[in-house]
Amino acid sequence: MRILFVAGGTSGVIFSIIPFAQTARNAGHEVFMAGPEDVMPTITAAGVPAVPVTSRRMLETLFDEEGNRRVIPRDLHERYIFNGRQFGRYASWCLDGLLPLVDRWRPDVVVGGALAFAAPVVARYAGVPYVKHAVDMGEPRTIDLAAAAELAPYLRRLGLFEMPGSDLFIDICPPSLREADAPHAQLMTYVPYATKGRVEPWMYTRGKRPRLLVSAGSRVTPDYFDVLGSLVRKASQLDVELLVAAATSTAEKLGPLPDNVRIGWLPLDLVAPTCDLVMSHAGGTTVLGNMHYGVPQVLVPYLPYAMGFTTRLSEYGAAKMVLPEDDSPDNIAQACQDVLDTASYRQRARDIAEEMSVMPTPATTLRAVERLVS
Amino acid sequence: MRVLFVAGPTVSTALPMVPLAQAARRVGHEVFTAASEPVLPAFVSAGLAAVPVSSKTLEECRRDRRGESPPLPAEGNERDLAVGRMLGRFAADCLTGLLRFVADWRPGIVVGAAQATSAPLVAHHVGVPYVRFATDLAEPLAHHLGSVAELGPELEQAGLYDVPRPLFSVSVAPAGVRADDSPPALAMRHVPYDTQCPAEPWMYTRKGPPRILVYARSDDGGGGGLGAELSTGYLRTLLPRLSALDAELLLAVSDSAAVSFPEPPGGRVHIGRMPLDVVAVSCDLIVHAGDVLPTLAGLAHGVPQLALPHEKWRAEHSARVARLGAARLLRTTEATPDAVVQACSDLLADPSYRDAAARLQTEVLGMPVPAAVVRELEKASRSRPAAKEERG
Repeated sequence: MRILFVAGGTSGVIFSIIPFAQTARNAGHEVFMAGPEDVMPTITAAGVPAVPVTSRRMLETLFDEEGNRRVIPRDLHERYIFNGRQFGRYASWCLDGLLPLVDRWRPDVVVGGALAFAAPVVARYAGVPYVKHAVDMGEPRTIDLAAAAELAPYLRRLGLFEMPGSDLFIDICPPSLREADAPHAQLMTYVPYATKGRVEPWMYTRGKRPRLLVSAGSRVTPDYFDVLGSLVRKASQLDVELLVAAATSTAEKLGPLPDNVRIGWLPLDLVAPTCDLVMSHAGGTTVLGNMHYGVPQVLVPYLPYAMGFTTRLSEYGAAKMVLPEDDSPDNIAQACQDVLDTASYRQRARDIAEEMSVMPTPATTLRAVERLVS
Repeated sequence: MRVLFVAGPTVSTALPMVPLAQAARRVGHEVFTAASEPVLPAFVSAGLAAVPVSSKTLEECRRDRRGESPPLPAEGNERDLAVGRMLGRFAADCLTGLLRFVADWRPGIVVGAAQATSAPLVAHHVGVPYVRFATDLAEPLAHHLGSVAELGPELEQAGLYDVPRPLFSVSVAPAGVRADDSPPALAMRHVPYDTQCPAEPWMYTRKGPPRILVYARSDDGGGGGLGAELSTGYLRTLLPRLSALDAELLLAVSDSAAVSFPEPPGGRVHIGRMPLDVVAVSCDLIVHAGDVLPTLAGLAHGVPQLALPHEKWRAEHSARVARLGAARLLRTTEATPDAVVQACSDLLADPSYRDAAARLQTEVLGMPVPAAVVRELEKASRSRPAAKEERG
């Protein structure tokens, strides 16, 4: 069978769907993963056939037709609508390339990352089932609805009177953390994946001291940079090993580092199993990856979409949340200390990892997709 | 059976449902209608039990959840989405009133105008089927999807990820006039209905010269991007030019607007309130701004039309009627008094318009009457609402 995967425009959301695409390929299916040109290396580096469908980048959704930067609203509801419209805009660019693609290469099913709103539309256009693949533990629903609203002219052009719904929803959120009203889903275990580089022994070996990983993600805001710097200075006085996952440019800006601090590119799936604590901005795949390895977390949900699952994971007891408005270095260091000193965080993190390990595998889930087509 | 009809924010969304609501009542069902205060009189004066569920006009819903009232963007997708979001805020306001009402009176089925996004939500709350009532003429998808996006917080509160789909839609548009992207729907014959006033002989009598109805009634409760009125200033320029034609002129405006027109010369001009369904029968041409009521009345009575719409999405259905040969279309920018007079003169002189309108009228008359749709509602009310869809 031919499976068209439709990827979102940033590496995190692509990482989430790579294991399932690889599983489908290894089961003998023909697999294409479509995405914008700028993420082609991310897909090809996973050994998945990649098809570029637009030369525009996700970042461009922040600019209007005249090239002016759009103002991101502060109000939460307005911001969700703003974000949803960004994804809708982005989807319309991808559709310009996706529709001709499926005219040439007819898929039997389309699997789309949750925020790749081009996927349901191209599936309906091709007349095949659409499988929605969660990329994290869920986003505010207004984002989906606003993306659909933004796509209204495109839907009309295709003669559609609604945003097509999914025929199957693959959710990677463990049952204990799903929202009470979460839609019916085929559950699948989350397999951490990230682009690989050269692996060094220190990455997968743990010394005697507790290991703290601070993940800056790709979105290092000026405030967050201050936090990083302060944490690095604080760490130098603690009996810990501090790993900071950050771009090389960020690393250089932080200046000379104490002996117990390493900074640079880090493959989370190799490093996380050796860590006692990960502190991050609550990016979707970072949080799931640490859950998979049973690592307790300190989370600062800077992006509003992360608030929901961060709250749920904190209430579960496997993480401690620091609200963005309370993100002083002192507060964050204190939260890290609390988590290290409180055994229950580790226990709850292991509990959730245990729960995730018995969720259906990608191979099992693939059979549900195969049944959909046959 | 207990049927609840829910109107959208304008009278235009309420009136087309009146024949169906009356038909349901006539066969013994309990019927309630729900509308905002400004729209409510449309139901009350139709002899229907009506409950107010919001005090807002659509224009007031321009004010967003932050309390800001940004101006409506110029025509295009941005404007459509902004109007959609206004519809969403209107729906959120109605929902509060609707939930209060259904706590006292539990409907067995909810029929909602396409612009009433509150209807599927209240039906879901009660756990009964929702039927979408559409004209499929001036209901752009962007309005609907924009309203749904605005309702994100209400959906979340209801444990929903999207607005529940209707069990089925009812549409009063003849097949050829429906938009390509209209959802599948049960056809219902449009029975023109309008709020009544004592009928004067001039309303229903043709004296000899052709009769032109200029429908300029502002859609009370509308405004804010949904209104389809011809402005008073424009009409004052247009009217003397039209009187030069050998025709009798009927200018349908609200009572309040009627006073702003000078005393008509020569008794060949009638200005004021007049029931559309009464006057349309004896007219030879209807001039309007693309509103659904005169459009549907023209189709149902076989009267050629001249549409002068402001907005692109209103021009779309008029363009379809024009393609079928029963109308002419001039966008506001083209609608100079000269062009309008010329178009009226063409429309009256060329019998092909009348013939095409008659063909469409035959199609309308062949559609199932409201009583037939009442039987479908009865069947639906005995069914259970669709199981929760697999949506993520």
